[in-house]
Amino acid sequence: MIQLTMVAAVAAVIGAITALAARDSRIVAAGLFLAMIAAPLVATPEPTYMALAFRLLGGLLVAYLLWAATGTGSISSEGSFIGLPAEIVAAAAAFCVGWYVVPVKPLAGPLAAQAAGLALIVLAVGPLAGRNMLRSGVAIAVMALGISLLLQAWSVPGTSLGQIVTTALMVGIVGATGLLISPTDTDGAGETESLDAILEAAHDPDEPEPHADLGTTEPEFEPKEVQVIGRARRLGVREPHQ
Amino acid sequence: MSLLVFLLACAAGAILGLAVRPKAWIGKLAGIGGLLVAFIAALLIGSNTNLSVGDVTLVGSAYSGLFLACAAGSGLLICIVALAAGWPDELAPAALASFAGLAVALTATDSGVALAAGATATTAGALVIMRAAPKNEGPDGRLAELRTIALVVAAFLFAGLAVTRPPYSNPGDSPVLVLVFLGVAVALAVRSGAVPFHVPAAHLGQTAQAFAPALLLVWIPAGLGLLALSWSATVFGNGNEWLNNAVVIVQLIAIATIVLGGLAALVHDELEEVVAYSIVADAGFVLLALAARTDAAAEPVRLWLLVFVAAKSGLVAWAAAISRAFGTSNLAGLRGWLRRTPLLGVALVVIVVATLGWPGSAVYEARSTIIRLALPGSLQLLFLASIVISIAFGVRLFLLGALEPSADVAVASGERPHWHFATPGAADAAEVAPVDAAPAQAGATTEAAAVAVEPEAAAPAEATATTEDVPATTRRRGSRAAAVTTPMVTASVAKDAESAEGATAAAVPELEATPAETPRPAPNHTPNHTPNPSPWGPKLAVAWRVNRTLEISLVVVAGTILATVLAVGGFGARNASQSGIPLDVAAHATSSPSPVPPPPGPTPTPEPSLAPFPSGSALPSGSAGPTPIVTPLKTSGPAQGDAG
Repeated sequence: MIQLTMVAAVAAVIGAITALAARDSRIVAAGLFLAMIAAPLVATPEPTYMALAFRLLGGLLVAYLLWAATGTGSISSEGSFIGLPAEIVAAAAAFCVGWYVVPVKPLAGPLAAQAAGLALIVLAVGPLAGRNMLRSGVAIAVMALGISLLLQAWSVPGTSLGQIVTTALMVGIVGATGLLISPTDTDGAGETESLDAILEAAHDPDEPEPHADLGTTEPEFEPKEVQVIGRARRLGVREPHQ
Repeated sequence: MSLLVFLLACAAGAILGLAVRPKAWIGKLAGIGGLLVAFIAALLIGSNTNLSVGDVTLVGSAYSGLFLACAAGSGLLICIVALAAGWPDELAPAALASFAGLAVALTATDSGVALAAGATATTAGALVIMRAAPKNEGPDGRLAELRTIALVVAAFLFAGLAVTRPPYSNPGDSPVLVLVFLGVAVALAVRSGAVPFHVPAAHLGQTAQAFAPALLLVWIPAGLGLLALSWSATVFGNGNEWLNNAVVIVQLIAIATIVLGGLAALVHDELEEVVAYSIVADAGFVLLALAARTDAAAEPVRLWLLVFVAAKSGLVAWAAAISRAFGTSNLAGLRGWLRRTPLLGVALVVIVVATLGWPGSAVYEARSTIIRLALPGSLQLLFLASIVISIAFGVRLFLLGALEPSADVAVASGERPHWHFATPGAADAAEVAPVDAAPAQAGATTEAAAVAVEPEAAAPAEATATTEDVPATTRRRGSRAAAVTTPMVTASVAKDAESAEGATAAAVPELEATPAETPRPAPNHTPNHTPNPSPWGPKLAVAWRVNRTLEISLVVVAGTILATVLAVGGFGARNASQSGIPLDVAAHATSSPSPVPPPPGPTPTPEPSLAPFPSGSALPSGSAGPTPIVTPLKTSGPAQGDAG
């Protein structure tokens, strides 16, 4: 008979594979949402309705944060380095190892939690070594889920407050990721670009000088660089370091 | 109740502060208001404070209340200084969010909850990191912050396994304990910027918002250190060879951090880096306490953490006040600062005194005890070295301040109040120095774009000018540049409206000026944007805004004096440090299997580390050193006896 914990464990792994292998940020968010809501169901005894409801809300918030941070479509995951089939094989291998190899006896929690936890951690290792921040952030969230599953299997069942705090941790991780990958505010809130960079971007060598066609030696209006400097100062951009 | 109020204040302040960022004044109000309410609520947290959430109870203690009050108070100090020195929109929400996480961590009786909450608090640090990819090969703090979060999350979640110590485990020789110990130590080292993980910390001045070191290097590492130390002695007290080798690694990291971090603070020329390295060096004591693996180190390190939070927050505020007063953070440009801002000199002395203490003072004894317990006799010299380096740090800055003032310092008015008024029409002669006169200092921002309007060169009548009078496009968020335009400023203007218009016209165009025309910053002076002077404004301004620099200096001095009081054990710090947090009780209540005495031979940890602490009250909950206590596996309810 197929048990709920087994189904939830497989669902969590599928969600993690989806989140880490997909390129479209919406699919990444959906995968993470699936992994988040499936993970607590692996536990025995089953979490309370309050904890489940909180996890559901947390999952929705996580998916929304990720979607909002990548909503413009300009940011996407690099996808899997090793390809989707390889990701699936790696996860399946780790799941099998976790299912058949029990390093501690007796287990305090379900075997499925150990298998799923190990699979999630193995999946997260690769992206953590990469430099794509969206994928790294999602990998941190998946890793946290995996560790919490392992703790459920090896240690003691989680408490309601533990579930809530774990959900808050996930929200914090994804929120931090969303903040760090989100585009810079255009109103200067970020104070991010140096004046040098703005000037460099403003100066287009192929673009004719202002009023060059009019034959005037002194432009009536401020050249583009000057306009940019004024705008940059209004936005609070740092001056170039000497 | 007070704990609930603390959590609600932090949550409401953080959410509101983030949600209303476009409205800067609401964000300031939410941030400062949240911190103020949290500070008051934290003061009321005591051993009889309880809050049940499901099957877990959050139990307050005298120490957790004092620590949270110290953190919230430090945040309040930073925010007050930030009102004048540049308001970073995300700092107050990030601080409140991290304080909420730390509050749960420091009061939870369930070890898993406490450690997960501590990891959650770490994620708030991402709020103050710059968001865009750096240009021109600049350092990128985003990936480093993400990896730091990953490390802390992994280490502290796995640490729950070591704290609960399931019955199958055998801590005497389990490699799990070695991995957990190393993981927690490295996570703590990375988060606090310890050597050799110091590069991101040193670059915070370029990769993070102003005042970010207070959050990323002081408040969060202190909370994590407190969490890690509350149970580590019990769990790791029984040594084995692998664990002893891991301890040696942590000892080396701590020694390198204290020595090299202190030396780095002596050789760098950017004030932000100097402050960061000074903080990093003192964070090495937390790693030393972790390496001590004895309950006897718990009390001194708890006291040290209180002083660390207060004094180092004061140092960050001091640096911001200096940079704001003189418009530069380069030490060469700050030459002679002491002559213009003697109160900040007093604050620096107080900070050094609070950090080091004196023989017999609580913080002095705490530092010496930590080193005595953590290092073998031949390395006890480190205590003396740390004192010498810290004093050299202060002396260097002091001597620099006593030299002939630099151009930046010379044009600043400093802390001296200006009660006299200038002749009418002198606004036209407002001092405007060319930007080329002094090259832009590294770290200087466009706050430099302010017109120098000497008070002496002002009109008799004064009027207050607020940013509400300034077009919205000139307001800047998230940068120290906001220091110039955001706070309410007082400026001297011509008496009649025409003169006021003229003065405004002279002040405002610098925002649009070309580089050659751009006036260089007038430290401590702000442009005048007052088309409609209030009839009662001048009187109010004279009475209240004598000198902005003076006000900031007074706030910084007050904050550092409070740190000194903590350093001598005041405000109940000494007594509270004996109690600890509920996680101490949870860890001590967990069974400690097969106590194995440390091998007498090549054990890197010195013998005194396992000797009873001279003061019997040093142990949390009155427990007696690393002696195992066989009690139920996990405490998910209220701690027995004194919760703290």
